[in-house]
Amino acid sequence: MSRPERTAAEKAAFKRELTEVIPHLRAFARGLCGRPDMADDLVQEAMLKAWAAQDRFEPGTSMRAWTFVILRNAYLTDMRRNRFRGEYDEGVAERILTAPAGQEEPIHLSDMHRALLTLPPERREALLLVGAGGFSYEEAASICGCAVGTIKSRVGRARAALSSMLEDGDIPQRSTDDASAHRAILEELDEVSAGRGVSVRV
Amino acid sequence: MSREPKTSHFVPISRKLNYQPSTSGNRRNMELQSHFGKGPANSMKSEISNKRAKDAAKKSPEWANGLRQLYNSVVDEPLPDSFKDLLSQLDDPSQSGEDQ
Repeated sequence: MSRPERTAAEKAAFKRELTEVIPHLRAFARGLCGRPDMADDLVQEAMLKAWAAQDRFEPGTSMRAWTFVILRNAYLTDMRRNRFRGEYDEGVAERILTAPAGQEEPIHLSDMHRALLTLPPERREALLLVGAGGFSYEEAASICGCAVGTIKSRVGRARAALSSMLEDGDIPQRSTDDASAHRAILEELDEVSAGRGVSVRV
Repeated sequence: MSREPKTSHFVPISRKLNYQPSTSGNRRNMELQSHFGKGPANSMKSEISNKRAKDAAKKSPEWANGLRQLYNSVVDEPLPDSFKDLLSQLDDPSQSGEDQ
């Protein structure tokens, strides 16, 4: 019923492929749960599960899609245990999203991440897979175990919500008012010190 | 677009910066492509962009590049040591990462 145990060469190939997808697992996990430390914990959990289940991996198929399913399941399990509820950390997210030096509109990214994290999890996940991870609708549907039409609808709704938030500058705050006010002040200081403070109107 | 924000102390980003969606977005994307044009993770990106072109590129809002940038910024981060330790433990479970 089960295949013979993998040879050393097969294990080495599996490990190489697993290693290659780690950066993608980290990016997906960070989009899902927002906090880098928790995202990395999630990825390590998924890696151990993937390693333990490697006999079920079909060589030649997409390691990225296969491990995303494992990561997603680990995330959902943790979500049910409320591990991530209310854990979004403005300060950490701000640091992640700071764009490389010399790039225009660095804050734009963090606004987007904040907006992304306000989406319902299943829409956020669909948008991450298709819009950020570059999966086709069909691949995303198979990763999420749902119909292609469902993925299309979730992506569409997520896009509409993000467009409305980003284009209107109307992003719900997750933090307390004090924290967001503080953040707004710091951002403006950054703008002013970068010499771009002229256009600010409050 | 012209709707007033609902929260009092949140200043829309489009007003804080000299925000010009289409032109600056394109330039930023070009910078990004050169920035991300290296590293092992990029072998997957051409495959990715082909599929994306089919599925989603027809109507992509101006922030769509930012979404990929968000993802790629993490993909391009150096791998923390904890992952290297974990990988080395996979081969030999008796070897603990704390040893070295």
